[in-house]
Amino acid sequence: MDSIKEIVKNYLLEEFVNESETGPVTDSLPLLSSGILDSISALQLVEFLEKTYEFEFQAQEVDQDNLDTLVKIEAFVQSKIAA
Amino acid sequence: MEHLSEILPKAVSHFADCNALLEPSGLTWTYRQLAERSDRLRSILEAHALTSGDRIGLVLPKRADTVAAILAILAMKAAYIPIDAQAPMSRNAYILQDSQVKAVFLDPSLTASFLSATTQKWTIVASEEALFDLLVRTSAPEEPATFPADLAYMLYTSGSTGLPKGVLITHRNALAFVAWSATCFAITEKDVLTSIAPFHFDLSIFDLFVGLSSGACLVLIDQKGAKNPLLLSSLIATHKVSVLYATPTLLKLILHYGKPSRYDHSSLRIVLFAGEVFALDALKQLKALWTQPTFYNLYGPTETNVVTWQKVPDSLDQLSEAIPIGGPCPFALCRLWGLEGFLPEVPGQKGELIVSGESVAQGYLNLPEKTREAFLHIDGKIWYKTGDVVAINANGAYVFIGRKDRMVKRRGYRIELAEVERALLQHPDIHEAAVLAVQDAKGDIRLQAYIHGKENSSEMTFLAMKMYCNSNLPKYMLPDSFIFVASLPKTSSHKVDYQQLKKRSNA
Repeated sequence: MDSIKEIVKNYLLEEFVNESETGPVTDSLPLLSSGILDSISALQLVEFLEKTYEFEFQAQEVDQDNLDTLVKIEAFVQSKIAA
Repeated sequence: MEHLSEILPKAVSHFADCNALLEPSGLTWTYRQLAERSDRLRSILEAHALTSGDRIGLVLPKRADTVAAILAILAMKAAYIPIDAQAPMSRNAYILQDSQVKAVFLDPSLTASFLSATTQKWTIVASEEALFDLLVRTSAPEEPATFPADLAYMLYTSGSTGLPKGVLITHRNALAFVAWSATCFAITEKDVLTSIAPFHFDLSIFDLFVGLSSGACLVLIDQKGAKNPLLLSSLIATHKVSVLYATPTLLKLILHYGKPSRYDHSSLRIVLFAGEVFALDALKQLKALWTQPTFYNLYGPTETNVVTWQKVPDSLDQLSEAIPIGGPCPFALCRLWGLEGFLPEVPGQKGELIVSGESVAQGYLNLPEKTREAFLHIDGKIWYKTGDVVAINANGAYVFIGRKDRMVKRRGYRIELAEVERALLQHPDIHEAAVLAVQDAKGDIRLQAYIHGKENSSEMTFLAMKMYCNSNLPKYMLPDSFIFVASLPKTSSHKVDYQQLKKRSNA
């Protein structure tokens, strides 16, 4: 089964990110703080994560600290699924 | 009322124990507490020889203490200059220098970067941990400017020369709009308003002064919160917000991403929107969701504040185009302007909207030529040329058609494309740059930057450009895409040929 990071990466490549522009999407590539994803794309990502992994973001969790890189996204999703 | 400083004492005399301000963190201040804090800040300012007629900058996040600082500045008959704490410091240092502020409240985390960005001499005279550093300028301004005697505040908007320009607003200008809206929307001490727009954006004038002059409670939402529709949606429910004022972009985000079905929004009484056109489909969806409040479209550039308004009809079924910007507020005169002067005010007529009346600003600071071009003196009145092309519909209302120039609106913010180009041109490896605004399939504005790099320059990439722009421009001005070209098309007079670029972009 694909890891969370791979699933999210594929989603980003399909929806928002063109690797010929950004360079390869690595685990630590900053997505929000670099401006690659704008605030609206980030909200779409939140929606995607909620649907895919069947949990709900609390208002204060929609934050760069949880969403800036693939590593952070995976860690956050894992903490939510485990809860 | 003649002065914005009269608002707080009047509110305290009627509503001392009512809640004035509320932060999502839980902090709540009554009007009495707000007045006490404002008096304390005023005495700090006065202790450092700041006085009436001075200008004082604020580079602070949005919180109760920032409101107290604004009211303290107004109380001593000085003017406040609100500045985006998240914008690049180079831009902010320029604004603080241009506006010739004598003092500035800085978020303590920004003090070091300000001191290294400024070319003037400053001394830290007061600090309150985690709230602010107060800095006073100790060097004289290079060329002292003249300011209107009753200046209340200055708002900086994107400038076509590439540098932001300061709009001079007097107390009389501000109060014309404030007094009208408090009455028109019947705001009372029972209302709960949101402050979503940042204080450097003109929508904040309504939030701050209409709410406080009516004894209402203001829920302060910082810039991070204003981008989080889920948080906004929950705050409306938790604090029983009754009056909401926001851009259509943000209202659409609440609709699509705020999970409004999860929350009780039945406290909403009035929804005001401004800053851009509200697409009819999205407005219909929002009205289907929020059936109880009355919706209004407000229109006006920073230079005039709101000058036209339109109540949104209860049913939108008969409509086929976006809600008009409506008719003039009672304090404003609006006319259509063409090459030959005023145009007849008849249905079907199209022209540039030109505005006179008490709310019209005193011009731009230090920009006499720009002021002369935009503020016309006709028959003893000052008329501001908005640059917005409008048409008169069959009901006599103004309908927004588009812009005359290279200014675009994105998420309600004004962007002069030339300001984005100027920032790009300051990159050491960029030879030429041109920025286009194009609408995507959803109707959103996207900025495309065409870049011609210098010979032998290091490799330029999308990511490098994004990061560079991120540290040199406010977020809403960042280009969405970068197109690297070997040259830019030129007109016969050797200027960038934007029409050719547009064709290329459509191809």
